[in-house]
Formats: sequence, structure tokens, C-alpha cells
Amino acid sequence: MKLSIAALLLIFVIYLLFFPAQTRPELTFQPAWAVDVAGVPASAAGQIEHASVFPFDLDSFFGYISYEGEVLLREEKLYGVAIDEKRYISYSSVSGNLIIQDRTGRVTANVEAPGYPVLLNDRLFIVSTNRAGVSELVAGERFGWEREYTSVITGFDAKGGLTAVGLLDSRVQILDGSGAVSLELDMKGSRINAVYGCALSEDGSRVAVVHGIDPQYLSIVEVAGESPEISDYSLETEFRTSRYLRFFGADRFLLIERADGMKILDLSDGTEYLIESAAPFLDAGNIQNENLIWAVFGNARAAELIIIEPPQKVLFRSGLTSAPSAISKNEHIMLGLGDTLCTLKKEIH
Amino acid sequence: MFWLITANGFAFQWPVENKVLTATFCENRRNHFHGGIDLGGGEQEIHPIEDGEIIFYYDTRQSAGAIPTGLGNFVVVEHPRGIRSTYAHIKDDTLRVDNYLVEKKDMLGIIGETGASMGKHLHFEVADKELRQIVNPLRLLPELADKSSPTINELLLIEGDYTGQLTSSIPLLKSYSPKSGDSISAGTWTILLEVYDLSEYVSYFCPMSPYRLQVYLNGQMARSLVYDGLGEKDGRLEFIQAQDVSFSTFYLDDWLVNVGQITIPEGAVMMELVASDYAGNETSRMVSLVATRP
Repeated sequence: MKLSIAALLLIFVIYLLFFPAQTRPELTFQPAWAVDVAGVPASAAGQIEHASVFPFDLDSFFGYISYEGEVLLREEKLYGVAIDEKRYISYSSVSGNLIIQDRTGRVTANVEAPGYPVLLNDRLFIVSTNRAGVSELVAGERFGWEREYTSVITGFDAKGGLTAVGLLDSRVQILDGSGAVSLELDMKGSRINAVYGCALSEDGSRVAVVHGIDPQYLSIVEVAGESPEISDYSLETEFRTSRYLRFFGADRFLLIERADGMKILDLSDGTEYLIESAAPFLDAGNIQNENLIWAVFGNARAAELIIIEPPQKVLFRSGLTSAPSAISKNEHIMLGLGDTLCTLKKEIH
Repeated sequence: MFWLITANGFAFQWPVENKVLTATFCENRRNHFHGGIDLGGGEQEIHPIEDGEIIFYYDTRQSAGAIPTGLGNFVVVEHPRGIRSTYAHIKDDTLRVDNYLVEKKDMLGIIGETGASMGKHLHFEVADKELRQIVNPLRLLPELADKSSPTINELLLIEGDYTGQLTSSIPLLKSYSPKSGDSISAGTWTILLEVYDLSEYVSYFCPMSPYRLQVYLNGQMARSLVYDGLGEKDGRLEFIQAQDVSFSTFYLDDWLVNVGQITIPEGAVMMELVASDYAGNETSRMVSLVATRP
């Protein structure tokens, strides 16, 4: 009897050696480094030669840091900053001029523009201080177009050469590259009609709009074509603030902010998935070259980072010490916590 | 609180108790019209002008998103008949949005200086969502006592139909300051006026926009601009009462405005410019001219 058991075990081990189990590699995110930006002396301008930099925007500072954690440019914030990988504009609350600087700190333009800059997909917009007007600076320094509204802007996005402007008076305007209205929607159907957010798909063919109170709807509208096709989804929780929404995953998924986390809508079949969090939604993005979404949540009481393989598989969930800001590039995710930066790097085991 | 049944039948109250008016509707804000009024008076409670429902709020410490705003913490209340009122620059941590249905007695927040603010004040706006117009709040609120009249600093004329852009120095080079007894060409002239209304409520120099500008030729009204409201046309805000008067064509300097065009007939002409404020105080300037065939 003992011999037969030993023989069976031997056969099993030999089987495993020749036919190993096909286990799925485990994807994890490991901390790579952490830097207290407040404790690092400001670097001299003109030192940025790295192709791979993160722009950062923290509580008190902004600038650029290399993938390896070297602070390449650090400046103190005034009131706000618009920053991307190429340029930044630091502005005060009542300034009439915007100074555009490249990532080495060199001034490239000084524009009289009483408003606040928004850098979005390599385009530079100016939102007027009363939040009822928007313009675009082209070639970095001259106004390409301007539009004024009788209502507060509550949603804004730019993709595929188009700009979407959502207004509290229930309108959504899709503007072409010259600022002309290519489509205007009037979102009706609720007791109170108003727009609370809008997002363009990556290819600019669709716009998603959150609108109305009693009920609040998510409507997805085909932008192209003479008679826009509209799909409506009723939303369970109502927001009376601007609500985050964004297309992901080659426009297959739509992420929508909720009071208790976020919802991912699979537009291929209309299935909805809820990702819960104890803290309010802050921001989300996709990890380049991966079909992954990161999202950060936080307030004074709780904060966390969640990484999801859409539509709903949570790959990573970690509590944080304070409400974070985040940005991702290639396989990296960089988190800002107070005035500290740290990165997480994808690893496969 | 003071109450009023306005000409439109609406009952509104002032949003604050201590009404220190420091800016009026349609003032020059460098690239846009001031779309409301400013009320100082230090930190004090802000109340809705009428019962209504909070339909939008922005808390700078909590609201995520990519749209920056100079309004600071602000709240929008919808009232009956499609009127929406906005209360901006509310002090941090005082914004009250726990109950969306609000009555006149409810506090929305405390006057602060969040956002693009040079001091503690309430920026207050009113919009008619059905007409998609920004409404001059001082046309809806109970009248404020005011004994001072507007100031007309300068009257300039430009021959022809001038609709230049803001910050252009060309009109000043081409302009002409008329004196009584001057002889000018009959025909179309553009009138520029440097005009403001001083605030009675503060001790420092605090110019504000008047309410109405009128031009009379020989006793007949030739041009009138009333700061009643703003509407959209082709992506620009225009006076609802005078089409084609947008910010870029109206303001040539801080208080120098393009009143518009008049046609001066041949012969003796008495030109009168009248600026009025919200209490009905008027200032006028008269010039007698002799217009000859060009």
C-alpha cells in the first residue's frame, strides 16, 4: 500500500515536471521611490533633458521630476498652475497676464488674458474668471477663438480636435477647431434642466453628458451625423456639482463619479459596474499601453488608490495617508501626497 | 431685509443686510462685462433673494475637476419663473448646501474673498434661464437710496461709423473733443463718453457703471443705451436692449465707452448727453454745434 502511494506521488511529480500548471502571472504595483519635494532645493532652470518626466502639481509646489525621482524643476505655487509635459503656466487669482514657460522654465510667451489656463490634450484654453467664457490660445500666444455665455460652464473637454462645453442652463456645445458651434444640444427631460458634466470620446465621435435633477441622466450622443442618436441612462445618485466622467479603453468604457465611489459603464452591452470607496472620488486615468484604470479617492478622513482592469476587476487597492493627486505615464503611476511624491511601478511575477 | 414687488411681479430681497454697493452691472472687467453686482460690508450672512432650490455649488476645497474658477466658493439657486441667482466668493467652510430647498431666511454662506477677489465681497448675479439672458440685479432688487449723480469726464466724437476693438489707440488719435460753437461736418459720428457713477457707500474712489446713457439732438432722442441685461449672439454677449454692442466694441478704456452712432443734420445742432444712475440721478452735458455739408 505504501509503495503504491509513493509510486502515485512520483508519477504526479513527474507529471508536474513535464506538464507544469499554466498559472496566470500576477500583476503588482511596487513603490519605487518617494521624495519630499519641500525638502529638495529648487533645481536650476534648463537642466531638463530627460525625455521621461512627470509633471507634478502638489499642495505647495509644482514642477517636473524624472522617472528616477530626481526633481528637475520645482516652483512654489501662487494660486494655480496648468502643467503638462511640455509647458506650464503658474497664475495668481487676479492676474491679467499669463506667462507661459517651457519645462526648463524658459518664458515662451506673455499673454494678456484675464482668466485661468487649462492644458488639455496639448491644447491651451483660457477659462474666464467668471467661468462663463472660454477661449483657445493657438501657437502658444494668440487667441484663436473666444466664446462668452450667459451661464456658468459646468463641463469641459477637448478631444479629437473638438471642444465640448457644458452649461448650467442645460446646453452642451460641441465646437470645432475654429471655435464654431458644430452641434448644440439642449438637455431636457428632468424637473430641473442643467448640465453637470460632459466628456468627449477619444475619437470625438460621441459626447457623454450628465444632466438634470429629478432625475439625473447620463446621455451619450453621437456627435457626427445630422440627427444625433442619443442613449439615456438614469443615474441613481444626483450631483449638484460638476461630475467627473471620461471615456476609457478605446471608448468602450465610461467612468462616472459617484458619491460612494465610481461606476464603470460598459458601452458595448450597457452593463454597469460599481467600484465602491469610502472616500470621495478625486481623479482617474488610464495606464498607458495597459488596459488598466487608476482612480484616487480622498478627503480628510480617508484616502485610497485603486487600480482596475475594466470593467470591474480590482487589481490593487491601497489606503493612503492623505488625499492624493496622481498621474500615470507608461507603466508608472506617480502619486502626490501633500508635498511628497512617490511612484508605483508595475511588476509581473 | 427689504422687500419689493418689482415691475415684473417678483418679490426679491437683498442677499445681505448691510448693502455696500461697490460694483454695478456691465462694468469693464478687462475682457468681459461684469455680469452682476458686488456687495461689500464685511463678513455677513448671505441669503437667497427669494425662496428656491440650490441647483449647483462649487466648494474650492472639495470640488475636483478641470475647470478653474475665479468665483471661489459659489452657489446657484433656482427660483420660480426660471430665475437663477448666483452668490460667489463665499468664505471657506461657510458654504451651506446641506438642504437644497432654501427660503429667504436661510443662510447660504458668509461673505468672503475666495477666488479672483481683491477683498471681501459678494459677487451676485441673476440669470433668466428661459430667455438665456443675464439680468441686471439692480433692476430686480429694492432700490437703494443714492444722492450722487454720474460723472461725465469726457465727450469725444469720431467722424464716421467706428466700431473699433478694445485697447486700440486709433480712436483716441482720430477723436475730437467738441466745444460749443464748433463747426463740424454733417453726417454720421460715433460718440465716445468717459462716464462713471461714484459709489456713495465707500469713502475711497470707487467708480461704477451708470444705468443709462442717452444722446439727444435738438431735443430728440438719437441714441439710448440701457444696462438692463446681456444676451448671447454668435458667441458674444451683447446688450439685450442694443444689438451689436458687445464688450469688445463697447469699452475702449476703463470707463471710456462707445455709445454708438448718430446722424448729425446740417445746421445748428444742440447735442445733449445724459447719464443716469439707478436712483434716477442724472448728469448731462450740452454742446451747441454748427453742422455744415461735408
